[in-house]
Amino acid sequence: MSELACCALLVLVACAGNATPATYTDGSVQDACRLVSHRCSRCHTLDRVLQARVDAPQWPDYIHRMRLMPGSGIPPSEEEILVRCLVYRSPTETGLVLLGREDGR
Amino acid sequence: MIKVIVAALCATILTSLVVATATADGTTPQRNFAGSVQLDYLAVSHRAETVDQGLAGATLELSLKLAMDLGDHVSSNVKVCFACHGFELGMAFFDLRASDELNVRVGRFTPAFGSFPLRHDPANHQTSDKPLAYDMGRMVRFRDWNEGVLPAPWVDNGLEINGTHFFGDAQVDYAAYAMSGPKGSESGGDFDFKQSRSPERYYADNNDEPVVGGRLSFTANLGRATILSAGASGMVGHYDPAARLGFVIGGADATLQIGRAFLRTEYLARWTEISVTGDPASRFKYGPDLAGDYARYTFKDGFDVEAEVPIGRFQLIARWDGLRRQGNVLANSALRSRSAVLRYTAATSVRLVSSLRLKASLERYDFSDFGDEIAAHIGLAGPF
Repeated sequence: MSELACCALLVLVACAGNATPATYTDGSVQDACRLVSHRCSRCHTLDRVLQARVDAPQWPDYIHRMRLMPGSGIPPSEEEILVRCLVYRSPTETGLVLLGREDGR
Repeated sequence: MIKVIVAALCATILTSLVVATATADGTTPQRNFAGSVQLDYLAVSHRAETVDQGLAGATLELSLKLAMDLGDHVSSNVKVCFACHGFELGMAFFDLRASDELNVRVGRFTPAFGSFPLRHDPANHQTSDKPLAYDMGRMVRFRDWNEGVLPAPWVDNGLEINGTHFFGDAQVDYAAYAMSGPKGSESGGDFDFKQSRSPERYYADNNDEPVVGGRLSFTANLGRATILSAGASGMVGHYDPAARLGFVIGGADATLQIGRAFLRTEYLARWTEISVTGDPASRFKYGPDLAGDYARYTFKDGFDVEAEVPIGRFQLIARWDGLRRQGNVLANSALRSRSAVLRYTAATSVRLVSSLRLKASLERYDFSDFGDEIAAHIGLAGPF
């Protein structure tokens, strides 16, 4: 049974290799959100992050606090990128206004 | 020694208070409210034999959390939970942050120990239950085992100094704390976790000596989508009213993240001193050694290895965990001087709509002292 469990774990990890995403290069909202999906899913289900009822102006402080959590893996340089995605996805239009671009690019 | 550590912690608090107050920016406080609910049903294969030793059936876990930023350097969190123990206060603390590297937390909270407690909320982990080392009443026969090594979330009163520092893409976190600590009676032979959540005990320390502990962890970004982290934790103190019976808990953990897939492993071990005064022959199941001495320590450890892979709406989870106990047991215990349980779990978590998820898992328990059990969980969980 132990051998079976080890095999199952290895298979799952091997499958994980296919989930490796592209790199983040052009600063688009899509790239920023891809980074959100990797960083935030360390401690939360992604749904929790994307459905969070956080007003757009609050996201910078929120992300800063999350970055300081143990093992967040979020270096200071990524704060702004993460905020870009989450502000864009804010439930009100405030997010787009804050970004200064209505297409989010 | 412990009093010196506590005095040092108090001095650090005062320093942080001064710094935080001096740099307060007077901005409008920001509030954020969040919560989560999980309703889970547990079915076991031999219900008639295990019903007195576990919580089969439906359980509900609710958490309601209010976070408030009182400026750049002061924040507070309050979290109320409703679950098997009724309403409990999961958090009520202030964070006084002088810098990224120096934060002082004061109040009631979960001290930094291990990796899983950061994700203990049902909306933050994909399985219905917790690793055995952190079990708080959901494992089959948890009463026989007196739960895990350190049930999560371990909520306690005290203060903690913590901080983080980035070296490029690497991160180092530390935490040191003094807490009320686990509680137990002199004759109980182990921790009595109910004493930590009983209003009759006033949620106060049962001795005047805090336990101390700490954690050090390292996180390295090995690429934009690959992160490796490792940490070590420890806690030491006394748990009986006279502060004579000591304990030590140690732990190590590691997590490898590749994209949104995770491989996690964790190990916890606890040495617990037991009282052998009075009439141990009538209290314990096993007698003295050849020299006529009763063993004064018990040892309990647990591990888990878990892989989690997202495929579309699905999260697939495979987990292998276990718990082991060595040492004398009370005369009425069903365990032996050496007992073990291994558990094999296959689970999935499916996003149904919005943030609502369906969790399902199948578990096989391999007990050394009892017959094997098959357990199945199915439940709904989600944040709001």
